[in-house]
Amino acid sequence: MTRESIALHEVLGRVRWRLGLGAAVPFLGRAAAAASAGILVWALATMIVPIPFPLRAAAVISVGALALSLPLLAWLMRPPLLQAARMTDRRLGLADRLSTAVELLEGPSPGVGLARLQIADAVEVAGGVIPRTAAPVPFPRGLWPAAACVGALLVWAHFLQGWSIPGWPAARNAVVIRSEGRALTAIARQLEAAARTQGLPEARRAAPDLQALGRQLSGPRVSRQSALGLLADASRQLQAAENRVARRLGGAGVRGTQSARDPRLAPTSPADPRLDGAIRELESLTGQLRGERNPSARQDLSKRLSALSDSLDEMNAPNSARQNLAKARREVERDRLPAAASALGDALQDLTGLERMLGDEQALGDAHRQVQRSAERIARGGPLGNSRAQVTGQAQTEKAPPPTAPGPNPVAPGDEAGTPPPPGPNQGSRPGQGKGPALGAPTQRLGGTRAEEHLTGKQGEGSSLTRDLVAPGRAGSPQLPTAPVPADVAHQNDRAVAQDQIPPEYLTVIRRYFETLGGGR
Amino acid sequence: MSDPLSREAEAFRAVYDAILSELRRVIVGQQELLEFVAIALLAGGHVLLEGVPGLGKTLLVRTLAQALALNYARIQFTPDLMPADILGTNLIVQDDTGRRRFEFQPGPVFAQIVLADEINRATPKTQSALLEAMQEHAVTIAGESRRLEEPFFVMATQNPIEMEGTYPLPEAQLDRFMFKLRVPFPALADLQTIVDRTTGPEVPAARSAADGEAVRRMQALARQVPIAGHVREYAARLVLATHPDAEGAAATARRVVRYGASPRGLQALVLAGKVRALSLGRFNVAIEDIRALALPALRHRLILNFEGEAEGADPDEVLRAAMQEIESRALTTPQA
Repeated sequence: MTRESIALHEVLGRVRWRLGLGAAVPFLGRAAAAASAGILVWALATMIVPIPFPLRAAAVISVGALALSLPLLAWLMRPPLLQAARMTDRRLGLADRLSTAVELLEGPSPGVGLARLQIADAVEVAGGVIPRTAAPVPFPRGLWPAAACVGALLVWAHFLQGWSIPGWPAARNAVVIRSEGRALTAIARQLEAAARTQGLPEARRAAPDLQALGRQLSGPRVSRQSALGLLADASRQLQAAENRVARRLGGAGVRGTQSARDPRLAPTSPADPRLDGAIRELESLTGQLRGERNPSARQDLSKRLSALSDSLDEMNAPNSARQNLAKARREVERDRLPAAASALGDALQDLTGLERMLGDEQALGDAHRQVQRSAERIARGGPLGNSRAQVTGQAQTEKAPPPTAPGPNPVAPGDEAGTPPPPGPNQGSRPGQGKGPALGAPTQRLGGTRAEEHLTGKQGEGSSLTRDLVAPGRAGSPQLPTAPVPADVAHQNDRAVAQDQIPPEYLTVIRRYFETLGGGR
Repeated sequence: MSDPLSREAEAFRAVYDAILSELRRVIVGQQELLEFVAIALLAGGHVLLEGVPGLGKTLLVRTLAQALALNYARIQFTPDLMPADILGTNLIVQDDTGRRRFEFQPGPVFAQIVLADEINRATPKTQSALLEAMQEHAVTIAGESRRLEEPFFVMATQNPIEMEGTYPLPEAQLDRFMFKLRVPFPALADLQTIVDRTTGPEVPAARSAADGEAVRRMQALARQVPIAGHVREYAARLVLATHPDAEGAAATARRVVRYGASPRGLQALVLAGKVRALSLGRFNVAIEDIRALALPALRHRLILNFEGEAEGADPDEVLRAAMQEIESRALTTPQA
């Protein structure tokens, strides 16, 4: 290849590239218009049917495809060298110098006679050729409709995204999402109330996020895709919290460890009567130990401790609680009652800690199941393609409480959708003055599980036993000095409230009632 | 540009400019006409000038002969002009010893620049006497062929107005002319200049700008100018477009033309294009050369049909329409 040939190829190569670009750009302009119009139609269709619409992904894929295909098309559509030379000649008025030179260079004798001068002349002329001038890349007219579609998409994304046309499946889907959002809000409130009353740390952390999620889903302009994404995030967070609780339970030796003799025996719920009974027995024993002086009573204590120890072993209670109980037994046998009381107090703390963890697990599990149910309902989209009547029927079906709703206060998600909870027996009145048709079941008294004591002998025989009951209804003067409510009483209070089937709205009322009682003393 | 070929190309341009400059010293205006005459001369063709009397046709030929220092002869064509009056004849001559012999007396055609004035006034027989001379640059008399001295350049004139008693040139004769040039009437300023030049005490005269040898070298050099395939194709398409039955015939040609341009027209077009390119300092024929030369090179080669004659169709318009049609086709199919 001669020097002249290289020089000509260099200039005309750039011109060829630009000519290819000029041919490809209008084509891509039309493609961009078609793609943006398609995306716009897709976006508008989401207002009618609840189809997924990944706007960012679609935009990125479209722009990426166009950007990648531009150089490829330009390369494929570039004209041959001779034609590029002809077009350059014509556009720049070069009197066919370049095209003649290209032909001569490809001919048999380019360096003979006037052909040599012609090629030299063409190379000189080519030195002044500006490819941009020789092959201007036209602005593709197809970009105008593409720009219009992109503008319409921006308007849609800013003002209309998430809205749906009433009467179409997308609108019905939005109703489902809002309904699930309200259900989640109610569940979050319950979770928060349970966390506050039972002292559940994980539930307390999870409740605000769940409530925010519920509010977000209850609001307008939430697409099914984004709702499912939010629910998936919430599900992951709840799962992580459940895992943390499970790890703690495992660390306490309740389950999943070698120290657990039989995990099936372990309590699974804070309302487990064995756990409840053990806690009450421990409380009773602790109180008894602090005031016991009688040796025969100590034997009785030792027997009860032994029985309690067996009970804890059977229920696969935490190791620490069992060890503390064993220690208390030893101390009682050694007649070191204060130390025994301290050990029992530790055992009591272990069991109450277990109770909180189980409560956390249960509350988080409930919330998690609700989130999963909401995700399933939204994903199923129920109304998609169904008629209005079918949707209504389905909504009515959803209002019925699920038969397998766990927990002491099962909540059907549909209940919170539109109707208030049913009025309680004493709603709007002070305790004992309910206006309902029938009073509810009597609330279980605090410390209601009495320990039966059968004493032998006659009245006045033997030593007398005196116990200080730190609780309301204490015998003696009704006027008691103001004193803070003991922790164990407050705990019993909270536990009793949590165990009973009380609507969430009444929890605050009840708590306020007890606080009022405390303040009146 | 120091090699001999480059110098020769430079000299070509210089001589061409000098010839035009000398012609302009005498001839007022008519720039395009002068350029076409010079191109035809350097391409080795002949020119048919068409114009009313008094426009300087004869003066142009005479001035050209002066500028080139070539033999010049003028033949006034009349109805009684015989071929022998043009070509020459064998005469019986007696030498000093008293012996008689035939001696050839060359006619005016044996000059290097021949002016065939009012060529359409002679009979076709006499007109045809120029055929061999114009094509072969030779004449055959009494079975003997005689070469004409190169360069040989015929300029014929005809009056388009006075058609009575004239014999239109036959197609074969017309085809021998490279160009048919129409001599336009001078503009106002040119007329005044003509008056000034021709009525003053000094009549301008052309000086010699080149000789016959230089013209022959220039003619040889012009033939070396390369032409690109698409330019050649454009010229061929243009010639084909004048043929009403050809595939690429122009619409106008289909309507008003009976016979289109001959291959000789294509040769004239390309050869004249080469001279024009060199005269402009280019070393290749461009489409613009073909476009510029199409009318003078092809207009006299189109034979109009009855409809065309009846409508008074102008071959120039046919050619312009053909060029436009070819270019529009090329734009719609760029690969072509």
